[in-house]
Amino acid sequence: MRTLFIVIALVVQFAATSALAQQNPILVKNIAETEVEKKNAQGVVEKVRVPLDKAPPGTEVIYTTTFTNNGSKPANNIAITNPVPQNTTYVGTSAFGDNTDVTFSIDGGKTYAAADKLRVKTPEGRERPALPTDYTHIRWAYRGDLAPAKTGTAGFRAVIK
Amino acid sequence: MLQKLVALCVSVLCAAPIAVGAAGTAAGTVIQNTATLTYSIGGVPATSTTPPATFTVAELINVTLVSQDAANVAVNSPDSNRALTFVLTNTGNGPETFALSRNNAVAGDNYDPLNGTAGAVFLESGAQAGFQASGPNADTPYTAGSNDPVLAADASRVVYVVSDTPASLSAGSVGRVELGAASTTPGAAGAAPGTTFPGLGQGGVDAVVGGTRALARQTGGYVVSGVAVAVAKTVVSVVDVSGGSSVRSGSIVTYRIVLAVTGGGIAQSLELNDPLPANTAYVVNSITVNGQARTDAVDADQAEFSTGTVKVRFGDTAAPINHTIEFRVVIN
Repeated sequence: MRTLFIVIALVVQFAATSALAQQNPILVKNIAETEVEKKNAQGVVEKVRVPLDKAPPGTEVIYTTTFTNNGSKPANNIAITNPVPQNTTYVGTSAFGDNTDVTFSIDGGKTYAAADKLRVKTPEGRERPALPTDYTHIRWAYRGDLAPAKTGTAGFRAVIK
Repeated sequence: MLQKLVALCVSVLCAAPIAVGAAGTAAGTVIQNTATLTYSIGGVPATSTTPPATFTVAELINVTLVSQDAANVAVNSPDSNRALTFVLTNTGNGPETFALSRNNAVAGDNYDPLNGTAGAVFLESGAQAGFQASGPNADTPYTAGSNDPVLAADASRVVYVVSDTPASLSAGSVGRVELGAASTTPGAAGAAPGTTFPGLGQGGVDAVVGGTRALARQTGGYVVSGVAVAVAKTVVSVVDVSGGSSVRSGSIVTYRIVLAVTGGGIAQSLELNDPLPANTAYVVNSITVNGQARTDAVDADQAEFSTGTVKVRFGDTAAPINHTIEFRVVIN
């Protein structure tokens, strides 16, 4: 009985995966890493990125989203949206991505603007420039087309509260 | 349905500041991140989402001890069961157990305090602030390994170091005691910050030693004080039966006694006992203490008249202070 369930589950998952591949020729991946200091073969300490599985508060997390065009036609109007995860704070000016324009949201992803255009209303009714800690979402707009077989990258750093 | 949803949002908002307190995100919290990609191919818009990048918040072990005594605690020589007060705080992000220890042989002081006869270390029971060795609100004697305090993230516990003082110490002698608190996670206490113990944290997450090296030490001190109690008795007034001030049968004499507690420290169980002079009769309910009337009965107020003696109790009295007692007698 148990075996039967597993077989059915596998079939369903396989079907879902293949359907996804057909609908989405762009393959996306998102990884969380952190930097650790390691001595290389020459005895010099250098920073090495390692996958993050468990980390205490204060750890800086590097999120990297990669997107690859596995289809046969170029893709355009590409935008990557990534929320700053709960219990973390965006590290100022850490957003990276080749050939992208980066904007931020401070209202849960409803509106986006460049970092210097964002204003926060204080409880006293005044306005102040938004701080990196106010950011809720980050958006990267990819300039131009992503040709078949090409890969783009977008990412940012956040610190665990 | 809408109401339910609103209530849920409110409760989440309320919970958020607790989860992200001074100690940081709670150990065991799973942090997920999913990116969304929108694009067009041949004018047809499409959306892809990434599988979540997921990790778990490890437990950071941090602890602090802070002395609550503004200055060295005044003691007599000899003395017993005098408390130093500390606050132990779990500044990590998960529940942690701490072992306590005291060190009487701190360098640079004049004498070594002795473990209190009532107990060396006590945990605040919560019944009454301040140290109580006994009684209904007594604090809890601490035994290492048996009732090590377990503190949630950000939680604190008051700890008392209780000491006896040897005899024959000169006034001004200082004796210091160091209280230590160490995480009971095996190997953690004293390890370098960042040392990781796989699986030893809250709920099986990794435990990571924080900047405090998973231990705390704090020193408190006692100072032997010279306390002197001086008693001065004077006659304030004499009123005779004819309104004059001659001392004769029927005259009313008002006595004043000033108790002067001088120096520094505590006069323990300070009590005045003044037997009436011969050939006098006590004037009922005439005792005043610092200007306040007192009853003669043996009751909760500090004064009484019994067996021919005026008695006033002040209990443990911190110097310097003056107390003024007055009462009246009739000359037989």
